[in-house]
Order: sequence, then structure tokens, then C-alpha cells
Amino acid sequence: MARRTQVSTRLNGNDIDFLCEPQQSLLEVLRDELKLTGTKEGCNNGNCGACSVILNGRLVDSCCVLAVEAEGAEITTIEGIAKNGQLHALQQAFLDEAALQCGICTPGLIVASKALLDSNPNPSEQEIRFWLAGNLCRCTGYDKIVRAVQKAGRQLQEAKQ
Amino acid sequence: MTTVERSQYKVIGTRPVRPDGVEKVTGKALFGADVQPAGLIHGRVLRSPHAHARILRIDTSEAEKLPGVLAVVTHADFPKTVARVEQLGESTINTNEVGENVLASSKVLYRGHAVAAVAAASRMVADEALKHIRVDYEVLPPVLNVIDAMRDDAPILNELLRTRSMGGKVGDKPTNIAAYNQFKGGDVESAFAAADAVVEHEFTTSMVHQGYIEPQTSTANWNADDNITIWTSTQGAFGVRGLTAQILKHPISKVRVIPMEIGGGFGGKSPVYLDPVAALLSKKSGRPVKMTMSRAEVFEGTGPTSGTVIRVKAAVKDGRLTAVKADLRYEAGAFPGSSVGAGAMCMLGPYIVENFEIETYDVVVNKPKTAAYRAPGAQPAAFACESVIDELCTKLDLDPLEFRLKNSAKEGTRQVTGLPFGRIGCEEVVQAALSSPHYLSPIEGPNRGRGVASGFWFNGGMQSSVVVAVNVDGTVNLIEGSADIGGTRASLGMQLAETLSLPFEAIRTSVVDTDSIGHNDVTGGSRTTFASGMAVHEAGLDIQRQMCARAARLWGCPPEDVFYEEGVLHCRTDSTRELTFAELARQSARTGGPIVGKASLSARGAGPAYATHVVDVEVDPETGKVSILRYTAVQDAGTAIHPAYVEGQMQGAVVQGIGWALNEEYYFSEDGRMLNSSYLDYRMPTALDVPMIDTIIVEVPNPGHPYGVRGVGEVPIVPPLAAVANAIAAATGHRFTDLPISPRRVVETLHNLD
Amino acid sequence: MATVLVPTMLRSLCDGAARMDAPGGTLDEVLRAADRRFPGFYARVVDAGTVRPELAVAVDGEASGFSLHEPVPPDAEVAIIPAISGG
Repeated sequence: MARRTQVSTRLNGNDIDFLCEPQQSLLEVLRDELKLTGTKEGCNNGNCGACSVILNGRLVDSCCVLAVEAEGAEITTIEGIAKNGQLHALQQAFLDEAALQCGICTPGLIVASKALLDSNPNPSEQEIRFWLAGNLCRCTGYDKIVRAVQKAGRQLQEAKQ
Repeated sequence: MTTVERSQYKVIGTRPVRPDGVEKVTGKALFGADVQPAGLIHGRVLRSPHAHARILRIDTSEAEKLPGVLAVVTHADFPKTVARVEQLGESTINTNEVGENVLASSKVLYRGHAVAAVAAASRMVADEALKHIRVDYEVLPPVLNVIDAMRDDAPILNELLRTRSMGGKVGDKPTNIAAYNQFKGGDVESAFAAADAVVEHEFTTSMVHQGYIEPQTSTANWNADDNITIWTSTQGAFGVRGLTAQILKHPISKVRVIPMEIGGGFGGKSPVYLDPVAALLSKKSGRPVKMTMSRAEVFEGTGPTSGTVIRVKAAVKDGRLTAVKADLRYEAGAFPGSSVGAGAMCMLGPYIVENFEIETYDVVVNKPKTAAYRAPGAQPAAFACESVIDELCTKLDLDPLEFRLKNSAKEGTRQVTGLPFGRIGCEEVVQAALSSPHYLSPIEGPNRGRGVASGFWFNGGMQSSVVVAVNVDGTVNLIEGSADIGGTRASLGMQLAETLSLPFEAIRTSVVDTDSIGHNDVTGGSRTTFASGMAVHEAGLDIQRQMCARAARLWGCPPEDVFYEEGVLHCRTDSTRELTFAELARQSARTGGPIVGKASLSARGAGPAYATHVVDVEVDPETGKVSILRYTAVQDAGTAIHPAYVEGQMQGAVVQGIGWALNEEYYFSEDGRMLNSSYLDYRMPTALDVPMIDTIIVEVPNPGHPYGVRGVGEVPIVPPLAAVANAIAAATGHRFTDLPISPRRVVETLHNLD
Repeated sequence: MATVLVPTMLRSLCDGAARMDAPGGTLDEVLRAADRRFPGFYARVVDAGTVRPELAVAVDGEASGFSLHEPVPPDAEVAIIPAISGG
């Protein structure tokens, strides 16, 4: 076994550290070491988005990020989307609009949608579809997902006013 | 069974938030790969690099010596099984063949066929150990399509295989044709001779995968007392229990299967791949073993659906479909059992046709053993038949939906099996499509075209078992055994709430393991809301009877004087006597103890479902890209228990169908390697590839179900292949008869025609 | 008197008949009656005491989970079809 490195990072607003081997992906560490299994493995090579997390404000596939890259970074996973037990508008919208069926892609989609609304609070349908093209869903056909994102976007805008 | 007459349902038809929703949107829900028992080690599978080979020798000794390796297994570790055909729920399964597929003994029959497995301290060590397993193969020529496989000189997968036909044997020499069948009625040749128009084409479709985002996973713990616990993502925990027990020759009472949340199935997660292997590795190592497939393994080592070759010839006279002759040849994959029979039995489902002749061939080839994919068998057959009908309509200048209406199957129409239909919604669905805003709107612009297609699926019944326990606060626990893939906790809870006249929020639904409930067949076959719903209704009635008996005891009146209405118990002979459900529940301890109801059944009365789809496309002649401009899916749900989840089934299936029509295929090299076994190159639709999918739910209640339910999950994947192909034909003037209609195929074809 | 709808591949065994009358109060009796008229019929449908797993028997349109003891109503139609699986 290779020598493990200690990594310090800010995860969902908390300063933590963990040990990892050099070849371990951030996805693997999140799930297997930190026991945060909300982030999912679908393909392990950056094609399905089930492992989406936000790293230093940027939407990434955590299967394509080495765990050591988390050093000094700020990471948001699905576990960090709800604050103090209150669901984020996106999470509530996904529930209300029935935008999930099996739910395996849902964490990745919610994280990706949050990254979208953080950077573009009022996206068009086309902009939503383009942004979410990196998150595969096989159950819903995307219709209700797009509607949920539109709804959450509107609600967040209204809350600001 | 009579359908409950209600002018208006209170809960059914509303759109409550599903009870497992919060866990799923916060990442707390536990799927198969999320379970981490103490002492967990990891298993990985060694798979054949060859599509067809004899296994001469497997030497695991080097792998066993590697530091960190705790167990190695091969087929030799399975107890010897005699071939036994099991009725495990929805399909017939030859357990010997399942065991062979799970770990090959003497022959590998497809690239990706599992040969050995290792359990080690980490996935990385296990993967390393696989490289140290030596397998000596005698490579054989593979056969990779039905036409080649049916030739007299084709390489034979199984020397013992003989063609079977309806309980008998046809032919006595080794063959790859596992089964042959025919459906015949009337006189097709006379009808062809007398027709106004006849169209004939040969169609091909490629092997495609269900594409569920969650790879197969199984975690097993074999205790020293031989009790086995399996945590797995499956469509059917009882199926896993039965098959694993059978393969391991282990009593089912010592196998407990815990169904975790499941990340998609569509039929592909009813079979068993990892569970017996994980169990054996656990037995040998004394540790719990987790096995999860990589995406490439999912493509190469699970159960995609058949590639097909289908010939259809059809005739129309005076606007009537008078004859259909068809030849369906489906890839079974490495072992017999494609769904070609269902294809033959569904393709004429939407029509009255007196003259038909359909031949079916189930053919083994050196590809993964096929598994069910959402209305298995029906989609390619509908692609072929609906395309030919489309061309006939074009030829005779008939509106394709008016044609379908004129020729619509109705109650009493005989199917190709001879069975008459009961109450069906075929006409209603076509009519709704005809009068839909989409169909009534014009389609304009160059390179644009509109296509329509219909589809049919039987829908299943099968076994369900539920328990209902009344809590002292008047809420109710619903304990059921149907894996919740698409919202069935909600649809079943709603049916119970309706039966008991309680609000939906009063029902607490749990999906439990095989130790905790009676047998439940798979969540699949569009059966759960129907059959488990029927059980839920019966269990609700059981609770009502018990509540009435309790109230009678409390009031000192005969039980037959007590009735339950709108959530309140009344006494016929004394109108001052009244108790709400909650009030009586509170007194359960003092009126006889806990109130628990149940129902177990093998559901009958499943109602078939119809779908008709309308799609507008635009074809870019330069790039060959087909854009979906607008899509409307119409479907008869019987009664839509939770309309949002019915819509979701329709929309999801439509997008799978679009992927199947336009991009998805297993692309094999000549030596039988799948060259595109990743999500990059196995191109499924993304959010950017499709528009909003409009849905129209028609309700022609199924008289066989208390709430009129018809299964909804499968039929919506049946029409899209033809609907898209028909739209492309309208847009380009060219009929594509081979799927997928990929950009390359479009460009090559259109430019050749120039 | 039940009517058996003869599947196409069994018609040659039944002198080409697509339908035949077969008296019986249970599925087993009906199939045996068919077998008396056309020997070999029963063995095509039944093996080791149950309907062959690759087949299904439908009584008046219902194909779900029958044993051979299933009572068959008078004037029922009994069809023999390939077994179907869902997904």
C-alpha cells in the first residue's frame, strides 16, 4: 500500500482532514473514507455526472479529481446543499415537481443545478439543458428536472426581492 | 373483481410528495453500493477477453498468494447443480444456465463472461490479483448476429442445444436456434393478392442496454452458522434469494436479501450476476464482501436486449389492414431466452387483422445473455410493423391516425394467440392523439417531418404480499416488498389511503427484506401499482373489517350493524354511535390488541395498455443530426394513481426510445469485442438532446382492478422507435429500416441517394 | 365444455384444427381430454406435473399463475401461449 497523504480541506463548510493514497479519486474518498455516500459512482470516467461536486466554486466530476487535489480547497457535496436541516429551493422543487424516479442521478443533478443557479440565476430552458448535459438521467427524460430547476430559479429570484 | 364505483377519488389522482423523496434529494437514501458493514472487503470479477472459447484450465494459485487477497472463487466452487427450470416470478429461468452465466465452467460464450472472482482488502488489490489468475483458453470463432448464427456451418455455442417449439423438439442436430414458433390465422396470401397496396421491408436493430445509471452491486455476508445476508440493488429481492439459494444449493430460509434503493433497472436488474459470487467469496474469506461493477462491466457483463432482424409484409384494402406476414429473428445472447415471443404477440395488438402469419426465431449468439428491457421484445417488432403501416398510409394517402382508428382493436378483438381482448383503451388513445394540440398544429419548414406510431403491452399480475399495521395515533404502517424504482411507495400508499379514507400523510410505507414479508415478485412488468395495489386494497378492506368488529365489541352491537364510511365507523341501528379511525385506533390495546391486516395474492385481471405517440423532427442533411422538435405521448393508464409518476414513466421511456432510435447500439469488432463500452461512446440522450415531452393520460379503467389501474411503465417505450423513424421518413423522403438512425447513417444514406 | 385454442405449432398434431372442444372441470381434465382426441397433446403442454415453464395457459383471457388444478368454467376458452416476461 502506498504511503498515505494527509489532506486538509473545507467540506460543506467544515474544516476536516483525511488520509488518502495518491491514486484515490475524490469520489472514492468521499464515499469510502468519509462515509458521505450521497455522491454516486455511475461510470467512474467523467461521463455521467452522478459524482458531481462543487470544487472551489466550479462544478466537477469527483471521479476525475484526485483526492489530494482537495488540499486547501472548498468543496460542496449533496450533503451540504440543505442548510441547518432546511431543504434548498432546488431540493424542494425536485420533490414538488416529481423530478426524480430512482434517485441515483438526483444528488449530482441537484449539485449541478445549484452550480448553474449560482452563476446564472435566471437561465433559459436551453441554458439549463446545456448546463445539465453532463448529468445523465435514464428515468425521467429530463422534462420534470428542467421544470424543477426553472421553478427553483424563479423562487430564489423572488426571495431576493 | 369489480371496480370500486367512486365519482371522485380523494387521494387517487393527486400529486403528493413521495415518502422517500427527502432522503433521495439530500443524498441520505442508501443505494446498494452505499452499504458498508464492518470488516468489509472488496470483490472483483475476472472476465473472458474472448467472445467464444473453451476454458482449458484456470490457475488461481498465484492470485491466492498475493498479499491482501482473502479469497478466490471459480465455477468449481459452486455445488454441482442439475439443470432445473425455475419459475421465479415473471420468467422461466434455467438455473444451470444462470450459474453458467454467473461463473463460466467449461466455455466462455461472450467477451465479458465471468470466469473467476477475487476478494481482497481493497478494490485495487483485487484488480491486481485478477491479473495473476491464469486462464488457458482454446479460442473459437464467434458468431455475432442471427443470420450468421442460423447458417448450417455456424460455430455452435452449445452442442447440446436443439430447437424447441411449443413444448416439443424440432430437429435433432446441434444448432444455435433455440426456439421456433408460429402464429397463423386466416389466409395471408389471398389477402396480399387482393390488396390495394402491399409493402414489405426488412428491418434490423442493434443490441442496446437499459442504461441504468447505477451499476450492479451486491454485498454479501456468509456467517459461520451459514446464514447469508445480501444487500443488493435489485428489482426483486425474492428473485435474488431464490436464484442465489438455488445456485449455491442453500436453503432459502438461510438467505436474507435486503433490497437497497435501486438506481434504475428497466428489467436489467431482475437477473442475478454478483450475488452468488459475493456470497461465496464471503464464505471463503469469512468477511462481508462488496462487489460493484464498473460501467464497462455493466455493458459487457449484464443483460442488454436483443439485436433483431425482422421482416414485415402488410396489405391494405379499402382502408383496412387485411394481412400481416412477419419473420422475427432475435438474438438471445449466450443462452436461450430472448423475448421474440412477446414481439410477435404485441406487434398487432393495436389492430384488428384477420389474416396473419408470424414466425419467430430465438437464436443464441456470442454476446451477453439478453435480459428484459422494458416491454421486452415489443419495441423492435413495433418498429418494423408501425414503419410498414406508415408507408402503406403514405402510399394510399391515408391519415395514419385515422387509419389506426379505423382498424383499432376493441373489446372482443382476437389477438394472434386467439385470446380476445377485454376492455381496452386502444381507440380512446388514438382518438386523443388525433385531437391533440400537437397533431392539430401544422408542421412547417424544410427537412422537417412528423411521425406517429402506436404500441401495446400486456402488463403483468403475479404475486404480491403486504401487511398493514394500525398505529395508536391513527396512522397506518404499510409493509410491502416491492422495490421502489419509480415512486411505488407513493402509488401504493395512495391506494391504501383511498381504501381507508385516510389522508395520504397518514400512511407510512416501508419496503422490507425477504425475512420481513411474504413473497413479492419483481418490480417490473408494469405490475407493482396494479398487483401490489390490489393487495393493498384487500389489506385495507381487512383492516376495515377488523375495525368494524372492534367497534361492535365496544358498542355491544352485532358486527353486521357497523359500517365504515369516509373514515368514520357508524352503527346502523344507533346513529349516535360514531368513532373515527384514529379514535378507535387509540383504543386498540383495550379492544383486543394490535390491529394488523394483510393480503397476499397472485393477481389476475391485469389490463393491457396502449400508447400512441406523435413526434416532429428536423434532419440536418449536412451532419445527419436528427433534432426532436416536439413530442407528445398519449397513453391509457386505466386510472392514474399519481399522475406525476405516470407522466414520468411516459417521459423517461420516450427518451430511452429516442436514444434507441437515433444513437444507441452495441458496436462490436469482428472478434466480438464491444468497442463502445462507456457512456461517452454508448450515446444515451442528455438533457440537451430532447425537448419537453408532452403527455396525455387517457383513462379507460381496467375492470379487473378495484381502482381501474393499468400498468404504465413499459408500453411507452414501444412506439418511439417507429414514431421517430416515421418522422424521419416524412422529413427526408427516405425510410430508414436499420437502427440506430445515427448521423453517420443518415449522411451516408442521403448522400448516396444524391 | 371448454374450447381449447390450439397454438399454430400444435395444429399438425390436431389434424389442422385451430380450435377443439375438450370437456373437463379443471385445466388438467381439459388438457387430458384434448390428449385423448389427439395423443401427444398433453405432453407438449405439461412436463413433470406442471405446465411447461416456457408456456403459459390462459383461461378466458387470464394467463396468470395457474396450476393444473385450476377450475375451468363451462364454455371457457383455454389458450396455450408462449410465456412472457416483463421488464
